[in-house]
Amino acid sequence: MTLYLRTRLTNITQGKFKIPKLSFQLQGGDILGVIGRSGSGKSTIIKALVGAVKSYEGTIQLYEDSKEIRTDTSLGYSPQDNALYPLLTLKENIQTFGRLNGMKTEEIEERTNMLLKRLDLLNSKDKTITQLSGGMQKRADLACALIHNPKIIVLDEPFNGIDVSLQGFIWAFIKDLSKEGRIIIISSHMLEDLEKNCTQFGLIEAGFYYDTIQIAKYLKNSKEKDLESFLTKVFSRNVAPIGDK
Amino acid sequence: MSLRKTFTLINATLKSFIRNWSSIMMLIVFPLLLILLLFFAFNPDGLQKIPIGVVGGYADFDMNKYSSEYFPYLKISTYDNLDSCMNGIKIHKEYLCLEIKQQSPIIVNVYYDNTQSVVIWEILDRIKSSIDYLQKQKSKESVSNFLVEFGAALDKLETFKEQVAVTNNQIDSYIGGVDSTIVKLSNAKSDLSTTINNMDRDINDVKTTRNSLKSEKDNMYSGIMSYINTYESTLNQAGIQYDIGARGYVANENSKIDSKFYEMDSRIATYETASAQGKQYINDMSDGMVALGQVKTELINHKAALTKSYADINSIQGEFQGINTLNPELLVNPVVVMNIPAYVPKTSYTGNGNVTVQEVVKGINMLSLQTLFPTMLFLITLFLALLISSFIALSDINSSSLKRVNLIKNIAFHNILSVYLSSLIIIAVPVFCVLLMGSSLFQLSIFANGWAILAILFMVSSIFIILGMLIAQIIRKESITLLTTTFLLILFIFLSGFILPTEKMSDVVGAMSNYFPGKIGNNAFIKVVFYDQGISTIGGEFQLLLAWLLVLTILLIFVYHYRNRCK
Repeated sequence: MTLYLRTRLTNITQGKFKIPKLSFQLQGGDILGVIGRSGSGKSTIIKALVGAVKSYEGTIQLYEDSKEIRTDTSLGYSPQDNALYPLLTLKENIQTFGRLNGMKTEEIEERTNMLLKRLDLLNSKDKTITQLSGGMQKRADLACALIHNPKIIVLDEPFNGIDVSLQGFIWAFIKDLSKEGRIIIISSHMLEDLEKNCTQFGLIEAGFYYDTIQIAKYLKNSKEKDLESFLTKVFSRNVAPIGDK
Repeated sequence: MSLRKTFTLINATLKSFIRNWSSIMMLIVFPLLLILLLFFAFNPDGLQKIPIGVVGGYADFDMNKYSSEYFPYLKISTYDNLDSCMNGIKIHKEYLCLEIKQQSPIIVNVYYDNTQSVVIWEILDRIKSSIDYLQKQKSKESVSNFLVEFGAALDKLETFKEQVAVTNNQIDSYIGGVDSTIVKLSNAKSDLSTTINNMDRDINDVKTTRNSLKSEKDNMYSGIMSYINTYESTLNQAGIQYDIGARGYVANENSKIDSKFYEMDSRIATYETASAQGKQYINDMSDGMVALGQVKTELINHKAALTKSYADINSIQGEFQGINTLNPELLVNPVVVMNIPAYVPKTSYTGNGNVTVQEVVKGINMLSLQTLFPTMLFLITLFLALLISSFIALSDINSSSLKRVNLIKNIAFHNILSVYLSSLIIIAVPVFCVLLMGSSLFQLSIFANGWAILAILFMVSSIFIILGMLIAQIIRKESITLLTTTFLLILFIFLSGFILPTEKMSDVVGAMSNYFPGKIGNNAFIKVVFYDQGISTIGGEFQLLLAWLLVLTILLIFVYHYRNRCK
């Protein structure tokens, strides 16, 4: 399967946020790291991509083997705060989202077992979400996001509040998903990890979105040796606005 | 459209609801306990032991004497004067003071605590009813006593009538006796007349014969004397002096015969005297017969008078019998206004005349409790539907899971439907409990009209569920939603006529409230449960409820769409 995602959105609005333009292209296996300071509008972009924010113009087009397919059914989303039913068990949560995504019972059963196993949650499947630790809840949320076998996986700051070992576990899992040919879009503050694991970058700064090429250009013009130190300087406003849009 | 997504969401919502003990406690257990408390709080015997004070009293109207029979719901304290009783009202020791002012007619001044406005009217009404009842019972008692004595008088009249009948028969017998005597006297008179006539004829015959004989004897004597004279003369002539004593002998014999004639005359005279005496007897008998005839006539007149009296007694008795069969109630209250409820509970109050005051009070209470039930049911339904639906809708809106759920295509329909159906399912439990209690405690025919009731409750619940969802969608914040829901609840309770009857509202508000779902549902419920009217008779109410449901649903869809688009 060869995936190709083309996003051309303008005037994305959510409350006080207004992002004039969002444009990028991704291929299967790409991991797009969306970076930006807190409150810069990362989540707005993520929400616009998954359809949770609808006030924008333009299109998001997904192609599989050069054939356009529906984006909404091919999308798995894990929001910043988990999107789970707290009083349902882990297994019930996964099954609920499986059914809501129109999957058959056998298929749900099969993928639930597979995901629980891959996310090391088999022993906790009958616990309610409130009984799970923060890290387990994040993995549970990932399982729910992935139950319907999505081609695009959008993760909004998945590493908030989880320990380093789990961060490593999740990165490994993300990379596995990427290797399966899926497109991963991930927003995070973990610049080092993003630089290490992402194949594409998107920077949101002062209401503008900069894609990988633009960032590389500004990085090259700057005196910083790597993306992390460049962005650290940008975020701490030690450099001027990174350019005209 | 497959409802699989809807059922999945309902499943998730209900499981979340059931596993949230605080929500179960607050929205199901608490209301259920409240409902139980409400239902068991109602005393089927009505007001109990209401303290009242009584000032004054007379032997004929002793409140304490009548307390157990006519005022079982009162706890009566006696006061020496009105001031101390009024003081009892002011310190909330008494609800009212009865000042018995006068006897025959009894005048009672009732001083009541009008700060206890709701219950005081019922107490006053109840006391008035009891006094009316007592008054009626007393009057009935007097009239009944009169009628008993009147019945005894009628019995005496009957005895008198029987005596008249006996006297009448005796007069008949006397008349018969007089008749018989007259006949006998007449026969005797006739016989005596015949005898006397015969005697008179015989006397006449004897007299004729005697006269004839006397004449013949006198002739013969004269002839003999003449012959003797002739013969003696002849002899004398012949000169023969011969006296043979014939003259003397003949004269002697003639004297003897004359004496016989005298004796005969005497006897004839005796017979004639007897005849005259007999004739006098006959005359006397005639007079007696005339007198007897007069007696008979008088007896007949008396009999006629007695017969008339008998008829009069019969007539009087007939009229009195009519009086005797009069209903004492009718005599006491010739114009009776009977407030007969169109709906009468099937138990306790049967409506027959032999009902005690306690039974009447119990019947009235059962009736008022039953008529109160629809209001309670719709209050509970309104309360639960608004609160539960807004709670479920808010849980859904504020649920983290919604971030993922909302990404699914066409989920809005399933989401709205699942919140609605989940609320409906949760509400169904306590509402069913209320219906169960209505059927068992209030003895209403709930399940006999199950489908119609289900349909009414479905419509009313749906309206308030949609309203709750609408408020939740508009406000989206729990605390403000709760406040708004409470305000709306009060508004709907008021405008549905649950606090103030719509008849007491101003024209505009009253007309408005007639179109509020609580009121419409209440009316439909009353029609169905109390009067066993089928579902077909509540078509108008259904149309109004449907209009409400449609308008609110359209509003909800609009708000839902707007709120989700503007995120």
